[in-house]
Amino acid sequence: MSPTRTIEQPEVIEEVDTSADRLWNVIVWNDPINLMSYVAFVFQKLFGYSIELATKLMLEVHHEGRSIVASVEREKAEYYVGRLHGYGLQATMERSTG
Amino acid sequence: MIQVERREDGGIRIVLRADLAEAMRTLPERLREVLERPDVSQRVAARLFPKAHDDPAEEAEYRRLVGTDLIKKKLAGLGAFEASLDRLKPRRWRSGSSELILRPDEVDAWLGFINDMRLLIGTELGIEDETWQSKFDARHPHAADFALLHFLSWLEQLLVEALSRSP
Repeated sequence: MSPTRTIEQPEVIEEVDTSADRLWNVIVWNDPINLMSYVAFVFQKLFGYSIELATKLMLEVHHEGRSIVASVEREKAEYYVGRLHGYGLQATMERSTG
Repeated sequence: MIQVERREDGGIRIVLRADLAEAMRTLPERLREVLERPDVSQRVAARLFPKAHDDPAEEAEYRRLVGTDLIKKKLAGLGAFEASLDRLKPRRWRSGSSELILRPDEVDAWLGFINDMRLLIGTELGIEDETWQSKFDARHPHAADFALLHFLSWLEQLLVEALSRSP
C-alpha cells in the first residue's frame, strides 16, 4: 500500500448526510479475469464518477487487492453491491468503522 | 478482425470475422446451463453470484433480497444477446466478415453477457492470476477456451472504448 495513499470521498456521501455509524462501505475486490478498463467503466457508469476517480479506484483495486468505492447508508450499499454483482465485479459491504 | 463503432443513435455497430460471429452462437447455452442449474456448476455460480457479506445471516438475507432478481436479470441479458444474433448478417458477398447493429437498449445486456461469459470461461479454466492475458499456448488441452476468452476480452475492450466515446 502506498504511504501517500488518500481515498477521495465519493460524491454520494454528501447526498446522505448521516452519522458515521450508519454508513456502510462498499468494497470491490481484485480478480484476475475482469479487465481494468471494464472495471473503471463500471465505476463511471454506476456511481457517476469522473474518469479520473474511476481509474484511481480501479488501480487501487488492482494494486492493493481492494478499494472502498462508496460509503453510504445500508440500503444504498445493498443496491450498489447488487448492481456490482450484476456487472460481474466481486463486491462486498461492511459497516464503516470511520 | 473486430471493429466496434458507436452509432449516432447510441447503438453499436460490430463487424467481425464470420467464424468468430458463428462462435458466438454457441455461447448463450453455456451460460444458460449455469443460470438454470447453479447447483451443478457451483464454482462458476459462486463467481457469478459472489458473497456480499462475511456474516452468514447477513449473507442469507442479501441472497433472499437480491439473489433471484440477479439471476432473472442475467437471464434477460442472455436472451437479449441471443435475440440480437438473429440479425447477424454477412457484410458483403464473400467478404468473410459479419455485421451486427445493436440498438441502444441492447448495449448494456450485450456487455453484461460478454463479461459473464468471460467469468464463466475463466473460472472453468481455473484462472487465478493475470498472466493469461499475455500468453497463449495452442497445445494446451483447453486452448479453444483460452482462445475464446482472448476473443471475448478483445471484444469487451473495444466495446468499453466505443461506449466511452460520445455518440
